[in-house]
Amino acid sequence: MATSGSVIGGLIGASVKRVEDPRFLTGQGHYVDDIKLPGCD
Amino acid sequence: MVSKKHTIELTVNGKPREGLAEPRRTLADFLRDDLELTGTHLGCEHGVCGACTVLVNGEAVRSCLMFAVQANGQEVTTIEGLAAGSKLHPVQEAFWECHGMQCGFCTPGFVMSVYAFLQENPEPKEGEIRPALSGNICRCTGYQNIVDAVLLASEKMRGASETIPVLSQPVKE
Repeated sequence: MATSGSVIGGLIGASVKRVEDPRFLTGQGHYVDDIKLPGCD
Repeated sequence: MVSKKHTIELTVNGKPREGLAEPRRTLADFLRDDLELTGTHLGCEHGVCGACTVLVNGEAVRSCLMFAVQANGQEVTTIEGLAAGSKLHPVQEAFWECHGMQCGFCTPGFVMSVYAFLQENPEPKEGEIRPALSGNICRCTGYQNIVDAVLLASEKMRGASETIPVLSQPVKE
């Protein structure tokens, strides 16, 4: 990442794709209800 | 009260699956707890929120309002079955690109509803998309981005129909 000079074309203000989204979109997210606790089936 | 369990044989995401379930067991619980497909989410558990939407024989249904025994012999597609390996389906790509989710809990239901909607209406206008999404609730209030995602998904699917994964094919593990 640039540390000096113009920010035009850099990350500031840019739309960045989230790294967590593919798992949410494919059913691989892990939520509290997905946790299996022993003796709680 | 424990009632007799029934054998349920069905096709899930292109693969034959089998399990035992009491008649009262919902398809959602059967998918999540018996088949360990926890991508299908339960929000309201009474057919209002749409988080549990899956496809049964290609039609979007609320898996919390359907019994597992009713799915015996049917073909079910869940959120886990939409991508072809690491290649996301255009609907999934569009949600990613348009930031169509925040926490992601409602997302599987939205994606399955949108998939079914675009099969019926491949070139929807925004005014048609909003009612089509009305059966799914997003509590992070991300609707505008979801509408944008449906428009983008529709473009992607029309532009690259030959590259879209075929749902009936088995999904790679």
